[in-house]
Amino acid sequence: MNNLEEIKFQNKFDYFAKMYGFIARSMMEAGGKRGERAVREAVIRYGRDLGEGIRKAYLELGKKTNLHTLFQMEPCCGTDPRFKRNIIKDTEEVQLQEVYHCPLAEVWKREDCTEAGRCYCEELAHSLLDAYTDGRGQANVSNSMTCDRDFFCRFAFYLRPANMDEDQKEQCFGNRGEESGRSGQYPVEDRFLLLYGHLAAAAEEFLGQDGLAALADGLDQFLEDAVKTLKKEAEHTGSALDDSFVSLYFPVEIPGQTQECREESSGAAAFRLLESRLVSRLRKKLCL
Amino acid sequence: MYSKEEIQIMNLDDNYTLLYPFLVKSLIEHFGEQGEKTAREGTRRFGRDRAETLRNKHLNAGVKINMHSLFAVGPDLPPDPRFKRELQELNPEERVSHTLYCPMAEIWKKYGFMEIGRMYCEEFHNACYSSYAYGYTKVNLAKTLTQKEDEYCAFNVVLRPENLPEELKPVCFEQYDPGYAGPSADIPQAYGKSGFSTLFIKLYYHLASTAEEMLGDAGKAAIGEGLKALAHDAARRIQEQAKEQNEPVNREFVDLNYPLALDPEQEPLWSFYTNEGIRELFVNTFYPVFHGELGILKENA
Repeated sequence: MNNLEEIKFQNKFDYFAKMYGFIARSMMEAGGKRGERAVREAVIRYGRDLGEGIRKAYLELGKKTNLHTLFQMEPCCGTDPRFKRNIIKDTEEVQLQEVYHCPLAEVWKREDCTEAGRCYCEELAHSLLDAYTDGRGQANVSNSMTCDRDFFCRFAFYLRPANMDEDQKEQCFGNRGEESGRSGQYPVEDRFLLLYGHLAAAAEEFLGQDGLAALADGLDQFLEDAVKTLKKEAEHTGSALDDSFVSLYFPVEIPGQTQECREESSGAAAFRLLESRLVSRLRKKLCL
Repeated sequence: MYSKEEIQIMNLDDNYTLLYPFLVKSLIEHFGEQGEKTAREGTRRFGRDRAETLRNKHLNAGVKINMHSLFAVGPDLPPDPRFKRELQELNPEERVSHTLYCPMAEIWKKYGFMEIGRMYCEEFHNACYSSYAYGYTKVNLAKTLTQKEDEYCAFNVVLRPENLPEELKPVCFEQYDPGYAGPSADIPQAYGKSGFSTLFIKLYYHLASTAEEMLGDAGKAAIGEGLKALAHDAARRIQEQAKEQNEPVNREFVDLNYPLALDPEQEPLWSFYTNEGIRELFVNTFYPVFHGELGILKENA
């Protein structure tokens, strides 16, 4: 049983999973193998941004950039309380974990997006760790729940001082003070826009106009689902379905956030599409 | 119950497997973390060498460079009857398997070399499988028998055509090469003594040459010490193995149970690994102790 605060976060996390699942599936349906290539590339770039971002944040905070600190902020695929994990080993050099319940895999299975989910699981850990460790770490994901064969995920990450130069060792294992909680963590709202941005860019880069059409199609599916589930969630929690509710349960702020991204991002067209195809229509459909 | 030939193969494998920890232990004892760094680098070079050799064999025989070929077309690891594997998936894109019993992990554990064996597992598989497919393989080995928390090895090695550049797709996958008519030659799996001696010389060469490159003459000297310790242990093991098989310790027995030829001149592979006096270090350090303790030199005289 989760409390109301956790449920808000879980809803946002589910929307993150659905956004990826619907758009990635749509890209793969539209572009076949090239679509899959685009999806994988988007996940790789997303993982790289996450990894680099966490490392940069830690260095600015004067924290060590080792596996213990990484997993404090990024315990496998997110901090959603529904993850059920068995942490087998948690040290600066080694992280061994098994995951028995994953809300991402759950959503992708329910929404028939498992193939897209599998691409995510195959690419993310490798690119994230590679970026976070500047190529010195090693990610191993032998089992993942997005694979038909498996009923759990198994991770083993290694980061060995013997594979580093002196500067890297100091950054990862040096005397940099104790880590303090999860400062610098990526909020799910930021993750949503980061991954969306990469999906949109890869769709256009690898599939051209067909890619943008697939992106729009994925957003349409997402919108339809969001309208339905936001209404249901408001009913379940006895809340009024208004701006304030949506800002607590939905990962994209209405309005505002996409506007900022649009101005900052080089993929302005993709964020315009997000604004017009998702945000505006969601407002209308929910009478906000 | 194993046949006599199987026992010989098991001995060849164990005697090869012990080379690694004896050399690495010496490097770490002499150089600490620098020694470990050297050993890890040497292990990666060994992995890449094996991968490139196999890939070239495959390319020459018209075999596609993919996961099925890597693990099932003329692999360079000779079979050992003690290996117990549960193969879950083997196709051009994936090889998923569990190793339930690994004689390498077992003997490292028996000798108290688990930590060193762990280094091997971390570095070798990644370097070898990844470089075989031009760096595009995703190697996942999240459970290993050299990790005390684990009860089996979990391999999940993946090569997705979607992650390859266009020019490599037809090299790796039949479906991207419409005119492909199949391999032009069979490639047999490495077997028995010749298989283990090849691995032995390659592994020694890469550890020793990396030690010399990264640690200079002192590194080479540390390798020499490791070789002496290995030679003492190898001679003792051969004597025990002969006793177990109720055989005399003579040239024939040693030849059947130790991966290297008694006479280094009879190992053709050395001619490919002649750099930097690495061969001479082995010949002048290992053989006198090994031959001497087994009485082989006396026999020659």
